[in-house]
Amino acid sequence: MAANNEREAWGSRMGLILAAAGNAIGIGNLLRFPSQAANNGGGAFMIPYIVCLLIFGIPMMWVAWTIGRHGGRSGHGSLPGMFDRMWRSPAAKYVGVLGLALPFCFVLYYTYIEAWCMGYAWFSLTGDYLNTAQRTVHLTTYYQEFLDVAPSASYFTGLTAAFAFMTITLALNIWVLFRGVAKGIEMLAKIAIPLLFLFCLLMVIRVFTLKGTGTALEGLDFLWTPNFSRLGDFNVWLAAAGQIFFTLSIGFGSLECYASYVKEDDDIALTGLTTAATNEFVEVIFGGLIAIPAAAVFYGAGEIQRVASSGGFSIGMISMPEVLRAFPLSQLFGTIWFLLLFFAAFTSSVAVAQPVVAFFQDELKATKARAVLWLGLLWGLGTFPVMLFYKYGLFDELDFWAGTLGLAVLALIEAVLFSWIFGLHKSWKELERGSLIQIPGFFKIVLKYVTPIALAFILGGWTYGAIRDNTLTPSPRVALWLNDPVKHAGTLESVEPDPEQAEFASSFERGLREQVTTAGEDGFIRAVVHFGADGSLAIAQVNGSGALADKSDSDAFARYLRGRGIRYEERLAPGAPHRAVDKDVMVILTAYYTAPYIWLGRGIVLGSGLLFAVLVGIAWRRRSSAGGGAAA
Amino acid sequence: MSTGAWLFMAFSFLLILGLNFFCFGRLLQNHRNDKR
Repeated sequence: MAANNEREAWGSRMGLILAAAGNAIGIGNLLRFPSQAANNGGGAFMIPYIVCLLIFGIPMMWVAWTIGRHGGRSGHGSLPGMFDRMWRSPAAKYVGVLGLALPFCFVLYYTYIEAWCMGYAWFSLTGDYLNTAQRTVHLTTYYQEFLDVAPSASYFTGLTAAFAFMTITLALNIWVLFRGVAKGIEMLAKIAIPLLFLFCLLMVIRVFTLKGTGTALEGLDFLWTPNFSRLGDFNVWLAAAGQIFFTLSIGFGSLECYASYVKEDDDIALTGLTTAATNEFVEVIFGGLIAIPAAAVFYGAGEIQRVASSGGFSIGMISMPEVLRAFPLSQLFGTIWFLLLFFAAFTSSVAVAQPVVAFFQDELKATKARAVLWLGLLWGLGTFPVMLFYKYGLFDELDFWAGTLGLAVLALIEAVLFSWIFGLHKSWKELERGSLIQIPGFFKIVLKYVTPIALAFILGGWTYGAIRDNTLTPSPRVALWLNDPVKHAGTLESVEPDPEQAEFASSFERGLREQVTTAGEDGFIRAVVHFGADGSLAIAQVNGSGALADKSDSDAFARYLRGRGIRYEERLAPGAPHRAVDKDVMVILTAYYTAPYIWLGRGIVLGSGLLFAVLVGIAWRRRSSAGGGAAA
Repeated sequence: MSTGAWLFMAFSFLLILGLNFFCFGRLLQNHRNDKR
């Protein structure tokens, strides 16, 4: 056997559990879970959620740990080698390439989110987004300018700030990986996970001691009131399955990599279960007690639905700072909130990057320093397009292929490998070796039939959704902006227009998209609009540029704004509802030509796959010419 | 808060807490056995 005696190992079982929990606990626990639960039946969402945890969350956790420890025994820390040991086919190692390309593409954009959290922790500490007499900070534009999405430059110019935080984040990740499994990843987990729990606790106490328009209990009521009518909806089950999938980090190859550093007869069954349990603690308990109750306190019960449906990033980066800055000690609690998100992301990103380091070390026999250097170079190179072309949808494209569809494919392959190719009997023996718990026999049936079928359904559901919504065909992105948010205390809001006007707005946008696609370049329309408090609007001047240079028809643009139900609204007191006011503001409509960047994203995913496939080919050829390895 | 919301929240929290008590209890027990 080609056992590699120089492989690293975990320092302690608790260190391993904390590191694995850190892998699973991410931003999704605190932002995605409450948003998903609130939008999919409240308390009743927990029924499909718990069913999915039982039928494929916990079983897939065991599958990952089993594949990982088995591969680690013969010196493999990444999926090509692990699959090769379990599936005696020349194709196995190439299928395992998914376990390198997907996590690599994932960290390219996930580290960017991590950098936002670090940046916002700094902006909280310095009070940068607090309103002053001279400066209104409109948090949506603040966030969009930070990412260079908005056409204005009121708070940030270009990507300088985002680039600085990205560089620091990347350097920290590389440093932890360079320090290795026990001294780097395990040490980070031992510091970050207790801090994460402490910060969660402080945030819960903070939220439940706030006094505002509503109460935290109203938020809990909104989140947990069961809506049983949603239980028959396939999409709710798909949402629950998706949440379990993301939250447990299934299908990344990272848990397998962590398991490969476990000793041959050490328990993995209880360790895997504990990882899932710790993750669920943070998700269901802390995830449910922070963001939505905070929104209820500040915005009032009537507006929680709007906040919950705005999505995870909006809750975390826009709603939460808006809530916290309205109360005393905003800088302290803002910093705690974003550090909490940062640590959750940091422990996940090093975990997801580790399989690539392990591959360079185990299969290409690189030293740790060289392995981390290679990864760092690829990582640094790959993050540039993600940052530069964020507004063109490159980030979302990587998330779709690497962070959504790819994970389901890889998990399905692993489930089939475990139960059908390697064989359930052998796999079960492998799982139970050294186990500190007796796994109920019914999980054998679950693993053999239920989990693969459930995964195939998820995959089918997502693919069907992507085809139905036509997300695979690149389409220009159209958005409306307020030109100078620093001077205006209000926002552009959309109210329900009458259907005939809405129809005109849709066809107007369709026309813009076609025009941008035909021209192959971005387009802008700028107009000074007088918004009346009575809902009326009039265009003072309008002009177009780029692909929309000829769009200076003020009547058509006014009709479009009416069709979208756009009004200018201000919040006259903290927590008070928005109210339409009389105002002249400059509105910018942008239409971005996304197609080249969508294809660039697909090229990055495909290119990474090809690169790692070539490296796998080289590694195995070297091994066979050396006369050892796979043949041993 | 409605009774339904209380019940579902309590059920979910207890389930997750129970799972954590079981896991960490077994780990602690094993840790003590190893020490002996």
